[in-house]
Amino acid sequence: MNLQYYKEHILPISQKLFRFAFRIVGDQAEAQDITQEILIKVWNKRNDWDYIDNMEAWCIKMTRNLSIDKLRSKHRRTQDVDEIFHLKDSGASPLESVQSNDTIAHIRKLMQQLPQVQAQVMHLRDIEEMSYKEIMAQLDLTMPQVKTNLFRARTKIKHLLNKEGNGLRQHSNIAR
Amino acid sequence: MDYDNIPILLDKYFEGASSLAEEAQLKAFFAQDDISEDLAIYRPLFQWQAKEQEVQLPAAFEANLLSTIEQQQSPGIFKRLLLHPMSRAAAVVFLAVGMWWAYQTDSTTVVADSNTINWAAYEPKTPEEALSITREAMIMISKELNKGTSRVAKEVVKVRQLGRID
Repeated sequence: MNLQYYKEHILPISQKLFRFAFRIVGDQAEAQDITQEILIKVWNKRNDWDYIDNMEAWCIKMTRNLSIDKLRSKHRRTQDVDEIFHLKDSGASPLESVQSNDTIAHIRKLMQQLPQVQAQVMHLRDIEEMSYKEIMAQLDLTMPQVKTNLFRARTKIKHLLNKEGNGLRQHSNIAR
Repeated sequence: MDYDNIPILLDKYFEGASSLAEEAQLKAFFAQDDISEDLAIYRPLFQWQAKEQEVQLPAAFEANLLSTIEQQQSPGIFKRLLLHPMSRAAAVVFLAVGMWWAYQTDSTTVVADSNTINWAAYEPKTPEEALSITREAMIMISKELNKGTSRVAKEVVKVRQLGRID
């Protein structure tokens, strides 16, 4: 029965879809709406399920496309691309920045500095703990593309963390 | 757990060469409180990963979604009537009654109409008039036959142009 299959095979991936949408749009309420929209779309396409080889990959692709569309329309509404894609200088010192309790939000902001594909590959690997093959299927990339994007993403994050770490040390030395 | 190899694993991680098991080891290491200063700068990254894995949809999400789907799935009154097992039998009975009624109405009308026609008014009065009517009828039939023949000839020409008949 369709509903039974839906409950057993599709609903369990809703959390993954939600986190993936959240990674792209950066807003929990919007990510929830996107997830719901995708899951309803999947249900409405139930007559085509037999023709879909990898249901999870198909759902992830739809989530990615819809999230990017929402993000684009948000850009058009706000005209503030920097706010979404780049870390705005808050004026806080490296010490204040690193010592803030909101380290999670801070890393999220660093992640927003990455190109979309790099951030998506890093998310699927580090958060969803997918193998390279799974990431290839989800994002329609080749193995070298997956590895290159992951390498570049992690290197960039490392560079940003090191930069902040050095700033922090310098700040501590001056304070002494 | 052996954490001596953490710097090596960390290098592999940033090069994108670590396995999922090695990455799990790094996550476990950075979940500890006591970490050396040179490695502590990477802690937020692994804390972020652990926190992101905890991001969940609200508990009521699934129930709300299923209720939306069930609402969409439940058919309206008309559709429900159509899907009823007796609907086919009812349709057959309805059609039969309809056809019987139509037949009754039509035959009654034809009989009634034909009774009111004064057929004597259409009878030819003289042999010349009968001949003229017959001639007109024959000319009309001849025209229609000619039309049909020329239409067929045109179609044959078209088909020949398509190369289907040599």
